[in-house]
This record gives sequence, structure tokens and C-alpha cells, in this order.
Amino acid sequence: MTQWLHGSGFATFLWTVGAIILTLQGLQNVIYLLQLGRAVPEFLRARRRASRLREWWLLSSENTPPVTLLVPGYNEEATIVESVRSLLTLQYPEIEIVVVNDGSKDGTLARLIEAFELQPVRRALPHRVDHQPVLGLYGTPRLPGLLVVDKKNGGKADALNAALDLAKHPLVCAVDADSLLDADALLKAVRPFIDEPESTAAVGGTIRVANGCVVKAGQVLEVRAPSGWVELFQAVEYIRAFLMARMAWTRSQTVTIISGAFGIFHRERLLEMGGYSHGTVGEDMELVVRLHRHAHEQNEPIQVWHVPDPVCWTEAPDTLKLLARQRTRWQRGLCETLWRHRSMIGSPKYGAIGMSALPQFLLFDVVTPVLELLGLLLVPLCTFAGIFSVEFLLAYCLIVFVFGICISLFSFVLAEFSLRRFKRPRDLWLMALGAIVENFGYRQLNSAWRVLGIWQFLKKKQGWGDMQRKGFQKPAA
Amino acid sequence: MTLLQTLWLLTAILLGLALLLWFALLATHSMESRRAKKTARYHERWLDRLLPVIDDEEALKTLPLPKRREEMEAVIGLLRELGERFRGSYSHSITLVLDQIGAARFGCRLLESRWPSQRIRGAALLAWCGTTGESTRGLEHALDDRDPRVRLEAAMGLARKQLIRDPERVLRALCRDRAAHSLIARDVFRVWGETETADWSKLLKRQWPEYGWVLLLEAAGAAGRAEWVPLIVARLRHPSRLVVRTALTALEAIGDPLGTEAARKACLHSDYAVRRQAAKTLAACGRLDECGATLMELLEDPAFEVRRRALRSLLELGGKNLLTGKTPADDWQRELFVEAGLIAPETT
Repeated sequence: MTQWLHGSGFATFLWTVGAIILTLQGLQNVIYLLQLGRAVPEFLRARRRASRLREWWLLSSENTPPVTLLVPGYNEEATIVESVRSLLTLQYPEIEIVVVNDGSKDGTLARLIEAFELQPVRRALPHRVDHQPVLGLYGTPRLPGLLVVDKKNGGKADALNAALDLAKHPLVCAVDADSLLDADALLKAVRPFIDEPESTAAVGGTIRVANGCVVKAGQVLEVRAPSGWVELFQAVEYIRAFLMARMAWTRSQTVTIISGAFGIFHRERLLEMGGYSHGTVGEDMELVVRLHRHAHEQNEPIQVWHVPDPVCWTEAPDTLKLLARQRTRWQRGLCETLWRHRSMIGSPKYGAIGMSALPQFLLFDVVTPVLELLGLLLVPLCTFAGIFSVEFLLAYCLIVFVFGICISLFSFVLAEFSLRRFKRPRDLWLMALGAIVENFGYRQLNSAWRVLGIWQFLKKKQGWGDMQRKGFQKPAA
Repeated sequence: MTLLQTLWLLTAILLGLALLLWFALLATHSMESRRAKKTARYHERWLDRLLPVIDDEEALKTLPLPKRREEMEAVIGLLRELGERFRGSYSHSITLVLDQIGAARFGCRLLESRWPSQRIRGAALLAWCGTTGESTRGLEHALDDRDPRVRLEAAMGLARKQLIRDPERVLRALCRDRAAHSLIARDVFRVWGETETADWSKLLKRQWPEYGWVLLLEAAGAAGRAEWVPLIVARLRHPSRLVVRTALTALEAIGDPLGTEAARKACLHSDYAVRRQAAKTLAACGRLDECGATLMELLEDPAFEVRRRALRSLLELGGKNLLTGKTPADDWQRELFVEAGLIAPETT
């Protein structure tokens, strides 16, 4: 058998596959390291932007652009009233809140009507973007900035479109009803619109894991590391993969993802593009890619920013089952977006987005996970079968595990140097431990979920799946 | 050296660097905790000194000078917190305290730092201090800073203190790069325009880059001087839609009838945001008999927001009679008429 393996072209084939896997993993790590380097000046720039004087200026100036919050909700009767109350306390000179009850089957609308003493109101609905019919609009003179929209169910993108259609202010901010916003979230995130009002098209805020943090009255009072492994790995991952990469993309103006949980957009630009897209579970990424596409096709340069301040806190899944569901959905969304905008990939017409950002997604988020899984099975097996040398196995382990640990540690240390969020040394140690341990199992699981997501995309699976949340008010760890 | 050896070396270096950074973070964290404790001690000590002075129970001169930089930083931080807590009630007393403890000198020193973030803090601190020769000179000096954000902060400080003696210099300092794009720059000139009593209309007769015009027109609108309307109207022919929009906003702020004709013409502009602003300006400058027809035409504009603004302007000018009984031409008009209460929602 071994003789056959060595004698046939099969060994050459395995060597070629092994070399490709090793090269791609190495390349990915080099790019991650470069991204870390690029993220540093962007952190510094964000710190310069963030003086307290500026926040004071934003609150008192007539020039601060008003913002409409778009809040889609589906079957949220347990939390919707608290969420809206929390949004009403945001520090910002002029905000409008458009809450959309997206055909909930529970008492979401009734809870809102009762809690805020809402009455039917008249408001023009121009239907500039596609959405399901609106059944009713509700408001109250007591809270003139609050509008509740009752509409037929059409999904998150559809609900956001209805809110966008009704929004009055020049900036719109899409937020998840089940996330926590810092009281000064808008003040922090709106800064790029202040510095470059004409060219800034969108700003994403940093989303961090709230599990383990001390939360009171809808506000994160103290940032702590989660106690469970699954949540801890995600807390590290949110910093390594999401924060660092997005800061680096901001540096090269290639931000293509703004989380659906918190993102500010120029309303007119969204309307021009037809709003959020239906039929995708990755409507947040699809929107930003389309924003870039539209801007390049109109020959109108735009800037898309990511602000490093953690402005939005989310409850991360605490079981592998829920996490798997979330990650496969994210991967499906990514694949759908890349497929929809496949003509942009590698096209110089779309600048750095077409030539760098989207090809990187394709290579490192679609191709590499498949090869990584293949490598995890193939490289040790072939080494023990005598096809690969032990040196090859060692090189593979160095690139996958040791580089991975370094990158996770670098990211956490840089983020903490810039943001200084953890007060207790215990949390620093826990996060560092998470940064090391996540490389042995969690990252590989992530790759497996990605591959599953790709499979579901190929099978054209639709829908979000249930996302059970426990709520933020549980006692902190 | 083989590939594997190179990899070993590379990973060893990276791992060493990561560990080094990790320990640096731990050290910084520990130092910061110590510094926070020290700052808390300074706060405790200074709170007892500051409160009677701010409350006018003790003389300002009883306050000592902070001895170290960290003490100065702590006192300034404490004063900022007090200022925020009192919501501006004791702002004058706090300014006097800042002058007494030598904050202006400290701000000037920060302006000499090689780090832009420190220089921004310096400019902000000088803007907060009382109006002294030292703080004014410092802020004026900061207008030449190489970082646009420092210049912006200094310009804001000068505007709030009503100390912009040479607006042309401030304008050039902001237009040197992208600082003029910021909404803060517009605020600087709005504040200056509101407070400046001298005639600066000669600036409106010169040539400026796009953002220079935006800032000057912002100031002209805030100044509210009707005799400058012809100078502003001339800018409606500018190729930049931003300049045209700002000129219309200025005309709206002044509200003089001389601006009506120009605003009417601007209703035909290709940019929807200009047309929307023109409709708004007409409500401030015009009369219904002069611009009713133009606004009625805008009710059929291809942009919904222009129509909404035109309808509002018509109603503000008392043109409800023109609309009562009018059959909506299309769905958008119907929606707007329902919103304005001109027709019942049942008919939609």
C-alpha cells in the first residue's frame, strides 16, 4: 500500500495540495500581520478624533447632523419596551426612533402601544424602497421623536427598508433591538460624518461581547472577560478578527462589512441604491459592497469608516449549537454577497474593493477554510503514512498554531493599549488565555462551520434560524 | 538556511514580540492603576480646596499652584468633571481657577508637544482658560500647526472667545487642507459671524476655494445683514452645489425679500438638495404671491423630499387655500396631502 502511495502520482498530488495549503495559510497569516500594522495608525487617528471637547461640541452645536434610528423587531415582546426606553436615553441632540414591528406573532405592538400610550399618526410613506405593506403608524405627542410602524412580515431587510422610507433625518442608524448601545454611542460613531460630511457614506461601530460584563439599566458599567470558554473565545475573536481587520480596512478605505447591529448611513445614498436587499441573510455586508459598487459606477468617491470605540454590546451565543447556527448563517451571507457581486471580484474598475478586499474574502474566508480542514486531516495522516516529512508537519503546525497564537495575542494587546477597557488584571489574563487556547479547537471548529455555511449556500438554504437569548440582566460572572 | 529553519526563526521572533508586548501591557495596566489611585488622591485633596473657591467662600488666591504635571492634569480633569456636573453654572469661577493654577501656561506647553493628540488637548485647554494674552497668543500660534485638528480646535477656541482678529488668517489656516471640510469649521465661522460687529463684506468680494466660500457664507448667514444679500446671491452661480446650498441657507437665515428671485431660480437646479433648500429659503424670504406658483411646481418634483419641503413652505406662507380641494396628481402627493391633513386618510 505504502509502495503504491509513493509510486503513483497520488503522492505528487498530495504534495501539491499540501504545499498549496501551507502557502495559503502562510499568506493569510502574513496578511493578518500586515493588517495589524495598518490598524495601529488608524487607532491613533480615532483617538485624536475622540476628545471630550468634541463630544461637548457635538451636543451643543447646530451643525450636528440629526439621526434616525432604524429598529426592526420581530417577536420581541419581552424586551422591546426596555430596548426603546434605552434608545430614548441616548445622548444626542436630535434623534428620531423608527421601530418596526415586522409582523410579529406575539404582543410586540401591543406592548409598545401600552407602554408609550401610542396613537395612530399620519405620515407620508413614499415607497421609495421595496417593503411589505404598512398596516399602521403610531406615535405620541409626548415623544415626538418616536414612530412605531406596524407592517406585514418580510424579514429584517424588509423592516429596515420600511423604516428607511419613513426616516426624516439625513443620517440613519440601523440597530438591533436586542443589543445594548452605550449612551454616547452615536456621539462616538458620528465623528467621521463631522470631519468629512460630504464624502462619508457610512460608519460602522465596534461590536463587543457583553457576556460577563457588569450591566445595569441597559448600560455596560464594567467590561469583564466572559467566564465560559465559548463566550471567551468569541470575545477574543471579536477583537482579533472583527476589530483589527476593520481598522486595517479603514486605513485602506476597503471596509466592506458594517455590522447590522450598529451602522450609520447617509440616508439619501441608501435610498438612491434601493435600500436593503431582500433574499439574503447577509444584508449588512451586501449593502456596504453595493454602496461601494454604486459609488464607483457613479464615479463618486466615498469613504466608509469603522470606529474602534465599543459602541454596541451584543449577547454572544453561549452554546456551540447556537454558535454554529450563527456562524453558518454569517458564512451563507458572505457567500451570497460574493456571488451577487462576483463581477466586482478582481475588477480594477472597483479599485481596492475589487482588487483587494473581495478577492481576500474569497480566498481567506471561502477557499482557505476548506483547505484548512483538508490540511488538518491530510497533513498528519500523510506524515504518519510517510508521504510527508516530519519537517512538513512541523512547518504546518508553526504556521497554523504558533502564528495563530501570535496574531491573537498581538490583536488583543494592541486593542487593549488603544482602548483600555479591562480594569481587572484577572480579565487581561483570561483574555490572553483565550487568545492562546482558541487556536486549538475553536478556530478549527469555525472553519468547519464556514464549510457547512458554504455547503448550505450551495444547497440554497434560506432563513435565519432561531437565536435564543438569555438577556443582559443576569448576574455578572 | 532551510525553509523550516526560517519559519522557526520567524515564529520565535513573533512569539517573543507578542510576549514582550503582553508584559508591556501588564506593566502599563499596573502603572495606570497606580496613576489612577494617585489621581484619586489628588482629586480628594483638591476637591476640598476647589469647592469653597468656586462657591466664592474663599479667595482665589488661596489656591496653590500644582507642583507636578500629573497634579496639574488631575486638577484640570477634576475641574472638567465639576464643570460637567454643574452644567455650566459655575463656568466663570472655573475659568478663574484655571487661570489661577496656571493652566494657560500648561496648555502652551502641551502645544509644543510632538504628539498631535497632546497639541489638540493644549488648544482645547487654552480655549477653556480665561482670555489672557498668553492663551490668545497660544491659540493664534496653534493656527499654524501642521495638524488640521489642532488648527480646528484653536479656531474654535478663538471663535468662542470672540477673539478672531484676522478672519482671513483663520480661513486660510482651515482651507490649507481638509480641516475646512469639517462641520466644526462651519461652526467656527457661524459663531464668528454671529458675534462679529465689524463690516467684513470685503471678504465676500474676493476669490476663495470651494470650502472657503462655504465657511464665509455660513458666517454671512449668521451675521444676518440684509445689505450683503447681493454678494451672497452672486454665489448661486458657483459650480459647486455645496456652495450654492450654503448660499441659499445664508439667504434663508437673513430672510430678506431680495433673496426671493435667486431662490426661485435655484428651484430649477439639477441637484435635489439645492432645490429642497431653495424651497426652504422661499418660505423665509418670499411672499405667497411671489413664489406660490414655483412651490406648486415643486410639488411635482422628481425628489420626494423636495416635494415635502415645498408643501411645508407653501403652508408656512399661508398657501393652504391653494391646496384645499386640489386632487393629488400622484401617490406621493396623496401621501403628502394626508400627512399635512389636507385630505382624509380614508381617501387614500
